Amino acid sequence: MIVRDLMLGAWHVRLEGPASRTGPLGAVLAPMAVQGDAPAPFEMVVSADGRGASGIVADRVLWSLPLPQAGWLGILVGQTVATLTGLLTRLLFVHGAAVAFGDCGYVFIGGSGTGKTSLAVSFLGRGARYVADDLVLVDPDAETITPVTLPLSVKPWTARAVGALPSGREVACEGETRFWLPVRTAVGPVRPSRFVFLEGRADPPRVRPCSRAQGLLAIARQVSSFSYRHRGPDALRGFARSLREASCVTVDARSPGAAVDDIMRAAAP
Amino acid sequence: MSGSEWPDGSGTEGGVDGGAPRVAPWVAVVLDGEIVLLNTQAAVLVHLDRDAARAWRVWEPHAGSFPWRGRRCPGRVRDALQRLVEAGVILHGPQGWTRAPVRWL
Repeated sequence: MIVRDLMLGAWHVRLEGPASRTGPLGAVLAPMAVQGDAPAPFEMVVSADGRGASGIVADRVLWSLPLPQAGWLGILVGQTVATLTGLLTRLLFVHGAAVAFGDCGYVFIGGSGTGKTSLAVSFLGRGARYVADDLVLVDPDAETITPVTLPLSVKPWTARAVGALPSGREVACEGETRFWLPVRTAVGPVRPSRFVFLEGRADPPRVRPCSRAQGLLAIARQVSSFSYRHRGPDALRGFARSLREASCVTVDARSPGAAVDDIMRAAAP
Repeated sequence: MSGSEWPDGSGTEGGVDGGAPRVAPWVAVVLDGEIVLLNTQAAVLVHLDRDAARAWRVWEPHAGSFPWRGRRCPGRVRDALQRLVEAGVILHGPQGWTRAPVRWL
């Protein structure tokens, strides 16, 4: 069993388990830097046979789960991110992806499989900087997005949709999922100027503006700080503030990555 | 700002029971004239577009009738106000129709 301590920005994470599990997991988590707040330290213990894991905070077991032979890495990364969302006291989160294109922060929000990652990759291919995938952290006071540069989780269908990946390196590969860290990443907080809500799978794509209030409702429909009832008022206030200067569009597209021009045009103020 | 005032500070809505302050389960924000309300206890969100928000605002709680009874009330505004009744933002009790307390964020 290996014990590995990671300082992910202000967040202390300890991994314990066989090297075959802690090695790839540590490699995927290492680029993540939680800035500003210092969530409670987190410990993850993977059983010696790699078939189970537990998450512990302040000597309390928060979760335990069995692990499959294939797909375990994505599950453990997801559990780590989910644990982080529960530990945040000030920052808000929403399931989504984000890039910075010049001074504009684009936030892509939608359910699993709606094309957030492929859309982010399409923007990166046009020179955008990587901000976040899977977990978007919002600073409600500064009204900015805090970069969470976990590697992109590139699943087979994402790879097919985007073709070439942006310049970067593969930090781990498990099963059919590649964990890809782009070279060009945001170096600091990004102001969210455009919110893109991915809904539906129309072909040809339909891109249309929506009101900020509708955008707020769309955020609340996703896994987000709204999911924690005690954070509801914070989420309402904070996301509303983040939306006040932003433009919002909904995208109904089978391949959102192919609709980048339409999205940029529709989201322009 | 008091928890029961409109966001621009005009007027007061909602109330107290026997003078004791009551914690409002509803919080709300205004975005471009639209309103999003959240019931913090039930985790329910309600959206009012501009027309519905305007109708809700001008409605006089103790008048005993709703604007959606009038012919000039568009159907979607009537529907939105009806949703407010169903959600509990507009209440009916012994004192007639009243607004639930709303804390503006």
